[in-house]
Amino acid sequence: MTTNHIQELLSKLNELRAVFILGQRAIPFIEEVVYFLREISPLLSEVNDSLAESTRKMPRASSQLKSVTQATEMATTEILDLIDVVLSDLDAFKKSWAAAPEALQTLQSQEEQLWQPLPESWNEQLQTLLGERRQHYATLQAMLESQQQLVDSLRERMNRIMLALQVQDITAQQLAAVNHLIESVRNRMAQLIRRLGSEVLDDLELPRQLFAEGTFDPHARYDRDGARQKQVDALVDALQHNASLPQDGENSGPASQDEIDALFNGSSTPASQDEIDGLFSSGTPTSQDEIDELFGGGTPASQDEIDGLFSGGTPTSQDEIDELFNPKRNDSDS
Amino acid sequence: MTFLVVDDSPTMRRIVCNALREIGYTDVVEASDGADALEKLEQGSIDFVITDWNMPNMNGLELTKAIRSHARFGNLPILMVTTRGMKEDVIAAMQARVNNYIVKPFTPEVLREKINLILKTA
Repeated sequence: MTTNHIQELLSKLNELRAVFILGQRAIPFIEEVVYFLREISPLLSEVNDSLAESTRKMPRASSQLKSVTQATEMATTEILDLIDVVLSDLDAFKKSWAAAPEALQTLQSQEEQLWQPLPESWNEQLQTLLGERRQHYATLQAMLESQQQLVDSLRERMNRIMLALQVQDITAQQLAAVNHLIESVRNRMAQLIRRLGSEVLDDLELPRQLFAEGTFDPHARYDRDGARQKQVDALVDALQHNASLPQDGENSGPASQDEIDALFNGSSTPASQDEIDGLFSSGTPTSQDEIDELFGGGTPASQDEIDGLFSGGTPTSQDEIDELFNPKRNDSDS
Repeated sequence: MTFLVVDDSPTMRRIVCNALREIGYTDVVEASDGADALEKLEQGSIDFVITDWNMPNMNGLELTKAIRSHARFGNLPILMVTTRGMKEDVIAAMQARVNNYIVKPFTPEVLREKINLILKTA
């Protein structure tokens, strides 16, 4: 066995030692990982089941919202039909009574003419009767005017009811926006569950689009104070006259597709290698320096160190060897 | 004067038609979306278009652009009546050259005011 062989052997022994030490360090961590995986496995399964269940329920929720929209639309149509009937009746009523005030006035006027030729001397009873009749005519006139006002008021209110039914269109759009949101979340959840590899969800089909995008306004709202119209008027006016645009503070509303996407960013994609590395706190595997440090001296034994093992340090010289074998020769020479 | 009321909601079409009647305009044609509206425009003599924005097939903004680029009825007055009240919506509609803009829910008074304003400046 040469010195080189010994050196190589020592080097390999050092490496072997390093491997054992690393193994010793890693064992508790690996045990922890195994324990963690054992613990988290049922939890993941539960989450998966829960996600699947929720995802399955979403089409039903979506369909129910659609039913609500259809029901309110039907009810609104019925109300509108009734309003049309009432308005039509009111119009007919108003029309039928339209000539009444004039007829009453004519009647009153003719009666006045009839009474005028009668002498004053005629008894007071007739005069009193005339006065009473005048009062009755005035009352009838007032009643007719009041009736007209009442019909007009009823008409106005029926029209207001009709205008208030705009709420159906607005809420339908709001529901459509919520529905769209549900469908988007469901899509994302279905994708997430598929990534988790659940076989349970194989029967999940992608939801059909109940409300096509672009057919509703996600920011629709029933605002009757006229403030929005004023803002729009100011904006239209500025645009028509090339003036500077007024500021507004409208930016609220249901979540947009971008916002939904943002919710899933960073969580829907599988963990990156960096993220996985991050889980192992110190990040990088044990470096060569760290392994070397474990071996105290740091570097594997050098040639000098190996030589040092042979105590004298340098190999024995020829003179020293010769001297070992010829100690007396030198003495005799002298 | 014949109005074309374009809205995918039958409820809204009835409401707009009724509001028009209340302010004295009884001649009204209805369309359920932009594509339907273009057909109606081709068929008859429409003098004024009142359109919603969010509709299937062809929305109000696309309809406005289609009307404006049309040789025969490119100059028709167009009034947008929509739930969309965001600044960028109004700007987009004005850039598409609608004549005026109403946000739902509207009142007949506002409808009358805008129609009169458009007719006065047309």
